[in-house]
Amino acid sequence: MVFNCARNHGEQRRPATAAAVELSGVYRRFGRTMVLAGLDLRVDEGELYGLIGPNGAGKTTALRVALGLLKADAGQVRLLGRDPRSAAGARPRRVGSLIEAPSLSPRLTGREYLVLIARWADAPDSEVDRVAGLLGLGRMTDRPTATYSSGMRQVLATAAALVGPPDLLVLDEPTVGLDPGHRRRVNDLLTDHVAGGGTALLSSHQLDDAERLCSRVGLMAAGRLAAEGPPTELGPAAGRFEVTVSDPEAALSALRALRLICWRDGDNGRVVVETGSPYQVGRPDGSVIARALAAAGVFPSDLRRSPTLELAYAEVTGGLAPDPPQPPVDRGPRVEAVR
Amino acid sequence: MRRQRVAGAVAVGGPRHRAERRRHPFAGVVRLRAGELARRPVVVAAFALQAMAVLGAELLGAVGAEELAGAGDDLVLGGLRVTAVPGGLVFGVLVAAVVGAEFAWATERALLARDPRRLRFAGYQLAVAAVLGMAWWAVQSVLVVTVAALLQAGGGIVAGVAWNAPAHWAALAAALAATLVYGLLGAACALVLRGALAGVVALLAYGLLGELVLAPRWAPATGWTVYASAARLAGQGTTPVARAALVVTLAFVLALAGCLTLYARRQVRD
Repeated sequence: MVFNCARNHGEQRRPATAAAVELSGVYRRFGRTMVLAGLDLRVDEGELYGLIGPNGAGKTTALRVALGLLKADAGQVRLLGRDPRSAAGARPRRVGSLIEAPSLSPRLTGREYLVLIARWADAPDSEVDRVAGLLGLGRMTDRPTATYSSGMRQVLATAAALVGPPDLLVLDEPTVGLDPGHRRRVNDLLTDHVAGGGTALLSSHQLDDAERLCSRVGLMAAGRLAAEGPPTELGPAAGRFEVTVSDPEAALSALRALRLICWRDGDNGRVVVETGSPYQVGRPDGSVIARALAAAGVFPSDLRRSPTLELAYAEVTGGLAPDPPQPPVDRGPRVEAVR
Repeated sequence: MRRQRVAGAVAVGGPRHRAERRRHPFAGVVRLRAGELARRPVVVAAFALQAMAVLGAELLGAVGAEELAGAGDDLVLGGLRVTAVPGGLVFGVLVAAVVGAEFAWATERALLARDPRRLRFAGYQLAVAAVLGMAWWAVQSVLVVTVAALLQAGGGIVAGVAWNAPAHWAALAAALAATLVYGLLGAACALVLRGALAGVVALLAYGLLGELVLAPRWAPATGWTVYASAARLAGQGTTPVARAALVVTLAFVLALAGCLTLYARRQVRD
């Protein structure tokens, strides 16, 4: 299913900024397998864009084509305004990348590897200390990479991607294999990178991270984008809230009085509230729900947006994600939501 | 696009950091990799193998009844003539293994993403191979001279021929040429075939099978191989020196041009 609505609206809201990465009608075939089938992807400067999709959807190939490591069979590719494969007038560019699992020279120490990247990128050697500090590598960098665990290699490779610092980060599953502490640190660095004016394009299977971090996500399936937009506005769960209360029936009454579509989700006191289309003008938000419940004397112990990417992912991939909570047959008046 | 601020980090692009940048980052990268090579077991093993070959050849020359490679009692010349060209082939295999390992370690991906110039990456690998080659030639030459001097001094061997400076210089030059040409061929095989195993197999197929087994059986190829030509430059064989020099030079140029041309078209699939 293609969420055309989400994509069109997402594009309308975006300001007219330069594209850091732009793939237009890109095709790429490996033997008889068409891995990219007319992929259109645009990542604007200052965005944190997440590329998600099932294994084999073409995410890594798209990143490789974007970086110029692979040549597109057809279509146009621009990276920071240039053909990424063109050597004419090229010089070290401010692009940090991590593509697939890093496999480092076992005889180099972590520091030497970072120095190698810094010198190749024409960056000062002081960058090594900076990125080592950002990721908390510490004295680990003095050891040969042969002694690193796979997670430590991933951290080192992520640090190498941050050397420069780059204007654009292209990261393929950067948090895979990381412990929770490093995962959080990498996520914070991505946020800081974008807050500082940088751009990031990452592929990930961590839907919760993507939903929390990315300003836009693209759902890839079969070599093209099946859906694209802000993560909270994708899929059937867009605009849903989940409220946990001690008295669900009272909550349902209060919410239905506002003509909101809502239903109980199991016996754990959770109520799901549908607030309408993400693009509906005047759509009620969480504060409206909270006020209505408070007015009825119901005080929620939890009120949050429903995770959207999981359901959107399930739609795109044909139900590989867990079953979403569904409204029962009898769920009150089916009318347009009003404030 | 220039970064204005990075949380938890310093801003870049300012004069301080520009001044801090190294003047020759490429040389710095090569120096770093050369230092790393010295720690690789395969490199240490290859150097040890060549040292053993030099030592063995000179010992045989010292205790044997026959003169070494037509050099009489001159162990320096004999040692160079015997070990230089086979050592060059061994060095080519070593370079193929060293350069090819880059593809298994995915260094190429990280570097080409930073700088799309494939010729820069190939030049970096060739420069590392050249540094290794110079070290190989220097160690081999010093070892030959040192061992010969020790044997001649300790064993009371008196060279039957006068010290022939031109012949020694020619042998040293031939050793350098063999090292560089076979090293370049090894690097070219690894770069074009994108792997250590493929590069080593290709170089061995060319060097051992092509040059040492098949070429001598085919009359038109006799004297036109790199092996025979380098040996002639070292003072062995009967082919004209000019032809030997031409073959070695042509092999170098063709290997370099072919390597750069083919590598520039390759894509990073792995």
